[in-house]
Amino acid sequence: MLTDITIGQYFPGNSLVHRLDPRMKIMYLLLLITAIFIVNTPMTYSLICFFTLFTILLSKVPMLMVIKSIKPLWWIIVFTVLIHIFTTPGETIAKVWILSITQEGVQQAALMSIRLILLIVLSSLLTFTTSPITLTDALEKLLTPFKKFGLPAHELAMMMTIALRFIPTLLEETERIMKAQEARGADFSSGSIVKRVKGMIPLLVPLFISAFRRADDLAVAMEARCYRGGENRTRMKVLRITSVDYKAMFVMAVFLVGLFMLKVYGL
Amino acid sequence: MNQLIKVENLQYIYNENMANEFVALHDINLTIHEGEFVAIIGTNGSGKSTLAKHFNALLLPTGGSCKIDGIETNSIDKLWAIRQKVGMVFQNPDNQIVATLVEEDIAFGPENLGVPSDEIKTRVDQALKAVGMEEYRKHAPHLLSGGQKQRVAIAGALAMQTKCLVLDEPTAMLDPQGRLEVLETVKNLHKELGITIVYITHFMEEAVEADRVVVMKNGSVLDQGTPRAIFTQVKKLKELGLDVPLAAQVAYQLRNAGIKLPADIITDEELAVALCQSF
Amino acid sequence: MSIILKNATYTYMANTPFERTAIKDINLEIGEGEFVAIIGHTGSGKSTLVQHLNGLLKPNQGMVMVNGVDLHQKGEAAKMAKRSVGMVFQYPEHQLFEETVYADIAFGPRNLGVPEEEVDKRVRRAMEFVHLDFAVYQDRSPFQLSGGQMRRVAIAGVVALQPQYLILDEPAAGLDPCGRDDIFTKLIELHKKTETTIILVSHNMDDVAKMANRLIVMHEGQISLDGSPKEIFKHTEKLKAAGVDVPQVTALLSRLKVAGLDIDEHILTVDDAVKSIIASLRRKKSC
Repeated sequence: MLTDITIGQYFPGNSLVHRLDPRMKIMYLLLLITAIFIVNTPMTYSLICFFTLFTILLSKVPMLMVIKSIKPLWWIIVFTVLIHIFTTPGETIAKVWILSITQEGVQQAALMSIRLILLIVLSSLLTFTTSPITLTDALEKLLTPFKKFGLPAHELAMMMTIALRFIPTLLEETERIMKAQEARGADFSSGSIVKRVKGMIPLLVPLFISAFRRADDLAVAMEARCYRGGENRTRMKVLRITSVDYKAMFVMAVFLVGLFMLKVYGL
Repeated sequence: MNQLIKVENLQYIYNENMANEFVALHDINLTIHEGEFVAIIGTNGSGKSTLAKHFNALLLPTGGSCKIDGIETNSIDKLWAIRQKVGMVFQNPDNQIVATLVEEDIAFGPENLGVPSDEIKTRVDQALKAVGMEEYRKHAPHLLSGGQKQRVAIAGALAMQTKCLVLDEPTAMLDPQGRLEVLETVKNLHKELGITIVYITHFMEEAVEADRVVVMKNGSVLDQGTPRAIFTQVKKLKELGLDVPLAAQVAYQLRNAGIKLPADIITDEELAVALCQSF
Repeated sequence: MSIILKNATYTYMANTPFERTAIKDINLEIGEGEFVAIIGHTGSGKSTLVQHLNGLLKPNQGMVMVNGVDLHQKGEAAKMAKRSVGMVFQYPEHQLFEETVYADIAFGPRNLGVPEEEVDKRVRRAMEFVHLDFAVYQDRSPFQLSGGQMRRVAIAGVVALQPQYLILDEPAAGLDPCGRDDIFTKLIELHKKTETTIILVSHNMDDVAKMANRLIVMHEGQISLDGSPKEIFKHTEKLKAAGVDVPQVTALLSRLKVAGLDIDEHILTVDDAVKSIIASLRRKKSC
């Protein structure tokens, strides 16, 4: 069940999108997110939707996986839809109990959900097409200028990498501990809130202790392989701007300029 | 032959001068030559793991000395040079893998050493080949079996162009299949690449493959010799709580019952031949 | 009084591209007082199978009955039936969490609703069983103990539940020969003294051959062989196909038989093997 969650997972491949420099991808994502929240006309919405679809196809990630990434967050979308259809002032078209659904509300709800979906899909595309270590590398590079202000860029990146590496392992361990305690009569699924929180102790204590033990072992193993922080560390995969990136920069520029023009001319 | 690891009068005390002071190792003298395959056996608490951790300066002696390739392990400025020469593989397959992809984990060591990017790629390729894990290079480590994870850990050490591989009970947490994989890989590395191997284990069927076996008890070296010389001392090993090859055990009991047999039998084959000649 | 599996099938992640059928159409009955060992290579379905026996997993098809009660029906009877099957997982020391050894061992019985007086009796009995001195260890934190001691506390925690059937998944995993012998001696003792049914999952043929009176060999989700150790070890081809070795003793005796010695190769202990070799040497004159 836990492996059904595809948001944040890496989908190996060699598409154009995969080969883009991850630093550029992160920047593009930020630009696109900004764009998503600026669009407000049918033309601009269609343009950005089209662009997103184009990117998905380019990435060769199966549409099913992309759709699955929206699944865990469907409740946010539903919540947003409900808020908008019931609270937007305007022409009432239907009534449910004491709440009225307005036409403007339906429109707003649709547009907001499109924005949310685009947001989720584009973010997922980033993680689908960029391996976690490459992503943390890119983040580390992008944050490096801030080192001067005391930001531990390398350490943060290392923490992220290790966390990503151990999440599946810890999830497996959680399942094992749960089963072992259930076999001793522990009950994780019934009872009052207070009882259930208390009931988590036989799960959390062993899990924390195990996590600390792992951290200890891992630190020793890293030292044994000469890890001594970020100074003078090289990387196997060097981030390089290649011709694919120049092409992408051009396409992005055209798209953003196009969007900007449409907005200026109110289309 | 070069003395790669030289331990003289080594002593190690945990929590020295504190209430729970514990002498883990006392007066250890041991030399490991380049190209050897040495197995260190002993029960839990015999000090074998503590000794192993001295070989890459994870622990420093509280008395005596430990020299790696002539360098004292307590030379602070030479620490990283020592750890590049002696690589270590630990017992828990999971808790030594840092990265989310196999090839990236193997690159971790060379990256720490500041090796140029292109050379790291070459080393990773070679290391993957040496442990037979090429087809798993883009796999996520948590999906691998225990044996495969240990092979990745070994590759990670190899990528640092280590001269000596110290394996601290690498198969204790593996199933029989995994144990075989790891042992075969290690034997191969020793034979094909001439890597010095220090292998700590309590599995006698692994120790029997070494050139030399060192027996530890209560923090000191009790005996050392060829597998044949060690594993035929059935009574002594049993008293220590260690296993012996079955053939050696059977031969020992037969001898006690009066059957005349050579004293150096350790394999089934040797026993079969000897019994058929004993009429 | 027995555990019965009828046509049990279990598929992980059914209806997804990752689906995997771990056990297929298993029919099995384990009777009271048996000492059964379930063997097979990794992935053969052993762990999945035993997790059905105490209701941790529910078969997609088929049913599980303990002492005549369907484990997955609603109500008290099923709950009681589940409780009569105890399980010790691999590396059980990883489940310790309480502040004292006493409290951790008492966790199980307390969950069962056992009155405090009886809980105390059970904790003492369980600690005695695993050879942990009650007075010395009851108030200690389990995390201050050695690995071997922690394992004994964990096992005591399950033994204190006084289950009718006890499942153990590789109880000697990660232990040295001393520790291994220790655990198995205690298991044999438990079986003899209390007539608890023991179901042992293991990779180690040598251990299993000495202790179990029934072996079940799993292969690709199905039962490949089921019988007494002596019978099972005759089927060398099927064992090889299942990725399972014969005990070292059997391998040695087979080799000696091939060399011409007149011995019964289906002997399972070292001492018996030695006696048989001596007898055969005294009988025969040539090889």
